[in-house]
Amino acid sequence: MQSLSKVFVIGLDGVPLDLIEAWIERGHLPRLKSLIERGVTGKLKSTVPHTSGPAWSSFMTGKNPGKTGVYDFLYRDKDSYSFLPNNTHTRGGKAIWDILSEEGLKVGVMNVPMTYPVAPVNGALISGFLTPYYAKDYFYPADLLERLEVKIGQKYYVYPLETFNDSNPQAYFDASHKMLDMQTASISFLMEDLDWNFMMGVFFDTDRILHQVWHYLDPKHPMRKQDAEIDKSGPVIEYFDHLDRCIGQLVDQAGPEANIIVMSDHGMGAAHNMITLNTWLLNHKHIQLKGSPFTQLKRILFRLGFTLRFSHRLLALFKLEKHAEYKLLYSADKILKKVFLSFNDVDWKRTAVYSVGRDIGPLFINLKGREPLGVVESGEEYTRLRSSLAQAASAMTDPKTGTKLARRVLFREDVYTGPYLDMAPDLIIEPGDEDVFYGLSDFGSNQVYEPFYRYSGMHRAHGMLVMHGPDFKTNERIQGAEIIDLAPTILHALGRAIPDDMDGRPLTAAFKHPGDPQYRAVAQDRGETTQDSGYSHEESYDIEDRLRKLGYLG
Amino acid sequence: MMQILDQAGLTLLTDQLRKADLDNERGYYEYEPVKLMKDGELAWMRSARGKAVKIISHLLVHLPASNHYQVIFMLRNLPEVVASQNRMLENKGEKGTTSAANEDLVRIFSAHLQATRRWLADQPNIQTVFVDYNRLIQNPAKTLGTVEGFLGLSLERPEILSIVDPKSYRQRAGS
Repeated sequence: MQSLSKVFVIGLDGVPLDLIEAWIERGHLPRLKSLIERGVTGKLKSTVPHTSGPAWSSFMTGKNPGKTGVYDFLYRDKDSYSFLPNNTHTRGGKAIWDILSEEGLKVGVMNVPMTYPVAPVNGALISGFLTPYYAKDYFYPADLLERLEVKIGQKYYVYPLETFNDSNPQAYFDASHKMLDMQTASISFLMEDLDWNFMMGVFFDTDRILHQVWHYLDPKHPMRKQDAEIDKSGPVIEYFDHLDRCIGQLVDQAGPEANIIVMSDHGMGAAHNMITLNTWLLNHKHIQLKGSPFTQLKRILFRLGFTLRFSHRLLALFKLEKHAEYKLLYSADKILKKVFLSFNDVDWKRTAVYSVGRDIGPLFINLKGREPLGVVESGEEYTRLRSSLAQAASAMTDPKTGTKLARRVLFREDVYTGPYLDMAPDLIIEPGDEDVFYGLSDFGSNQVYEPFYRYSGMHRAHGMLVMHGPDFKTNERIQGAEIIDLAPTILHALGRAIPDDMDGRPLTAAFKHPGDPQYRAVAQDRGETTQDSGYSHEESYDIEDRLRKLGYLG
Repeated sequence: MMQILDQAGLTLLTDQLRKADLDNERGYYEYEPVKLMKDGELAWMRSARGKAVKIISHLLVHLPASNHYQVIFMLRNLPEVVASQNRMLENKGEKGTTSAANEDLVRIFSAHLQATRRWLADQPNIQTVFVDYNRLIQNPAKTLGTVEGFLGLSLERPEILSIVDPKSYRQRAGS
């Protein structure tokens, strides 16, 4: 086992290795180039689905979603047909910084998605994406933010201040550069402030930029019909060159004794079309609507095009996207469900299948005993329905070209193992490269298959991995690395035993002197929050008051 | 469920201090010290071995890990739970909640249930069986069959099945 004292992880959300290497070849990104040349590099396989919620949760725990219970940003509520945002309370498994904290190592963690509500660590933690927009308790310890803001000389903020709008892209890029500087200064502060063994910072804007302006890099993208001859890649590459300088600065500050890991949770590529699965299920009568006049009116409006897609057009028209992007994230769902055709209008007692989730096509069977108004019997009926759905999904085609839309169809037990398997979709339909399953709002569009909008880029299964430092090999390629391998790899690099309930394996091929990884039996990994009631502090007070009045508490 | 367990021959740990009332005509089957578990009141655990005791889900996480437990987790349609609680509060002269607040309560209880289920799944010293209250009322024989296997007790007896009384199922959601 190694006995190294420092690991520094730089997370670049949603960055594919191919893109980085292509830019390096064109003379950009000198610091990443140097890390690659003097380190071990490869593609990093994400989770299924390859979205940030499950991917970062699996990164931090070393476990597949069957053990974290995080299959999407949202989880399926067992007692209703509503879907709630995942957070650290709903995640199974301990995060690597919790394990290291328990072992007395000092940790610093900044802006990793899915880390709110924050739990105490032996060091400092600032939560990242999916922190509620107006939350004020997203850091630990209590005095951290004040000291950080004094040091960096400005307010710290979790979410970007601008959303991309083609009419003024410069404002968007300017805000992204400012955020990059602010985040770099913040990681730098944590490194200075702590005598750390493990440090990690995530740059989430990389994902956002590639989602929103992938077409700037791809003249053949359908969104570039008007100006395909112009090279618009400049501002994107400029941002990544700036990021490269920031990475260089932080790597220098970490010092030559630190092992550096630059990684991304998934890749990115062009997005051309979207598939709205609930509309497909509605057309195939797997979803049945209520007969009430209000629902029927909504259905007529839906057919006429009054959908979430329509509302996005309106937001864009009035330049309100930036208010909607994060502030209303998920919280607006209740209103949208009332306005547009939604699961509120579904007659669950006559509905066999529904879909919730994004990117990949997740199908849930309305199962008796699992769903509150389940109609499908487990056993033979479930098996028969699932097989017929798999067949029907495999036969979905692009109406214009006849091309099949599903790359493959998976049953959940083919992909996941663990105590939270029952929360997984029953069936997963993987789309082709340039198609996206559209998961926003229950029935986001009245078309099953149509050109994508809002984003020009969407996720791919493989991100990037670069490992550089005194104990990693130099100028090597690594094959077959997965995101679940990083937690055990970091533990191994820090000379710590690996809990035997992690699904990942230490990437020993990357080490100069790999030694024998040490494992320890884990009788129970409760995760950091499993003793939590599931209530926020405020809610907890209200609920306890109610239970006391009811005579249930002393 | 407490009456069913009583009839099946399990010894109940209850002090009968909380008397039957309009909301629960058959009594509450509670044990007052349980309600102080959160404050560290665990001395009663010694006398609980081999007995059945009623604990609200909110307090399960305070069970000491040094014992083994079999938990019969009663689930009920959450809007019904909130409606039933509101009615109890009103009968006690406390204010209930508005329909908008009811929605929030359902959401909060739902998140709590989710977290509790996860916690239970992670406890090697706790075995859990989930019993759906609404299904128990509709089909007692089938539902009690699950509990029967879990406890190793015979429950499908007429005197036990007769305990499940649809008349006690008053507080349907929205009613």
